Amino acid sequence: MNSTVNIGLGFRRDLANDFLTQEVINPGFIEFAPENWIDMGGYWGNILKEVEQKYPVTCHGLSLSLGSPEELDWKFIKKLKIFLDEHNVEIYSEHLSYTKAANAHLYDLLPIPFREDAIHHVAERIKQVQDFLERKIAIENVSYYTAVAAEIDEATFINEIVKEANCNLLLDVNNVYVNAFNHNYNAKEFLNKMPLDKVAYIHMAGHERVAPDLIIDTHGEAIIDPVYDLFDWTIQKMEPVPILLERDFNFPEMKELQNELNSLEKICKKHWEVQHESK
Amino acid sequence: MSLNKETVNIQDSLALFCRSGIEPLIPLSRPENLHHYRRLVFNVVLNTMTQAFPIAHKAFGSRNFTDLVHDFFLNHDSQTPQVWKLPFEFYEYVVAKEHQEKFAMPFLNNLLLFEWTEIEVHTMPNVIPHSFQNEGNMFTDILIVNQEYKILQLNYPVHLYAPDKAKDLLGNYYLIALRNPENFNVKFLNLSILHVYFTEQLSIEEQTINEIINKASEIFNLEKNLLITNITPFLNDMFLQKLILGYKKH
Ligand SMILES: [Fe+2]
Repeated sequence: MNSTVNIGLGFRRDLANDFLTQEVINPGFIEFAPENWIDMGGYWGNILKEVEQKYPVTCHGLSLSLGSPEELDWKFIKKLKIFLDEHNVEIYSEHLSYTKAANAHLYDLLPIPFREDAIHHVAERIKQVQDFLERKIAIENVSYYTAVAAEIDEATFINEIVKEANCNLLLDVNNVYVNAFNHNYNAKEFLNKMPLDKVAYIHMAGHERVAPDLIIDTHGEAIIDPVYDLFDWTIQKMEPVPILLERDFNFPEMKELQNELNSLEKICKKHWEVQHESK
Repeated sequence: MSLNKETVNIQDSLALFCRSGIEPLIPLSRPENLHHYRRLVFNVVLNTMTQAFPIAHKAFGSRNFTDLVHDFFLNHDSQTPQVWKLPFEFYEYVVAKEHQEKFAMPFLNNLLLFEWTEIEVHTMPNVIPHSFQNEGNMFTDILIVNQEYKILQLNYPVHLYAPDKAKDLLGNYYLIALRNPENFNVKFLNLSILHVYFTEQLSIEEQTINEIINKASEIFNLEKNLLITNITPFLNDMFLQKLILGYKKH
């Protein structure tokens, strides 16, 4: 990824053919979860090879469980390192959450208690993984539907971890919107507290409002205008980074997905290309 | 570890709630939303199992199958970080819990193994074969074998019939799940015990069919000519099915 504006799209098997033909959708890069592809041969392993020849690649992990009380899974991390190197992965990111506890994987993202001891614990684990992988991880602010035994605020929690671990931040703007809505805070005030100079990567997505006072982060809908607005407002404060559109299911016509990519590109160009030309 | 015991307990109890539904005694800012975590987590596991075991899902019916996945998710500590490998843990769990007796489905272990094997062979890492040529002598040259297969031994022919019918056909069934190296489709083919022996021998070391015939003749106590007659159509078919890819280059 060399240009100032890079807009990617999550690679999904249901859309493999559309990614390969590049007839309607043609993102600047693709993202996928290494967990879904490590050890995968045969038909799908082959498709991945083909698609990788057409696009630069980022990876977004699911099971590292950085916030977990469990030991890190070094057997898996060793496989991960080989995979990231073999697949020329430009950015590797993971969630600021946990998926394993009480000796079992849960395969979804549970919220870490916003507490002082958790900050040091998570930061230490991020450092260990970064040292082993010999690359920085971008950790993502996740959506959560209830805070759990919180003793400090979310913004402090994220800031302290990024600082202590010396890692990057994957800023999911939709998640900021979802959390601000669900927990009744001001999204812009929250973003002002984020270490925007540490952001290496941005996620954008759609969500679903399931109750008057609850949004679930589904990645199954188009991005809504208020999230575009928040994105527009945020990126003016930042240096250019790659932007990814997450869409996991309930796929629309490919033309509509490409339109979303185009909308994101337009906003980025407005702020980042002009800014760079004047520099 | 820099985590307090209290924080560990909080995290564990949230995770255990997702598995058991037992509400944790922890301070939550929006306790009314807690159930979404249990729902989201369970849906991932249920969808994975429903996709992996479509025949078993149908045999149980949606409701009983969901109950079985609930039972698995509650009582089994899932170990793989890769959820698409979890169906194998489910299979092992069902075998260990002797569910096929409990549900009076004597074919259940076989059925889950059969359905998992299709996934396993379809996804198994590619094995690059030795280079080979298309011309040679089937009996005196070394044959190069496609290693992307798995042999199964079943007591019920769940690969041939729906569970309803298969359950009445107790026997000894050998089959090979073979991945075509060109289109990656997985095919299940019936084998005799003799064919299993030849397939395994071809894979474990470089040897000619004549050498294997010599050994088989002793083990199965069969005339060599009879073996040749029996094995020739099998070998021809395995060339067609691409279990045998060709002849080792001289
Ligand atoms: Fe995200």
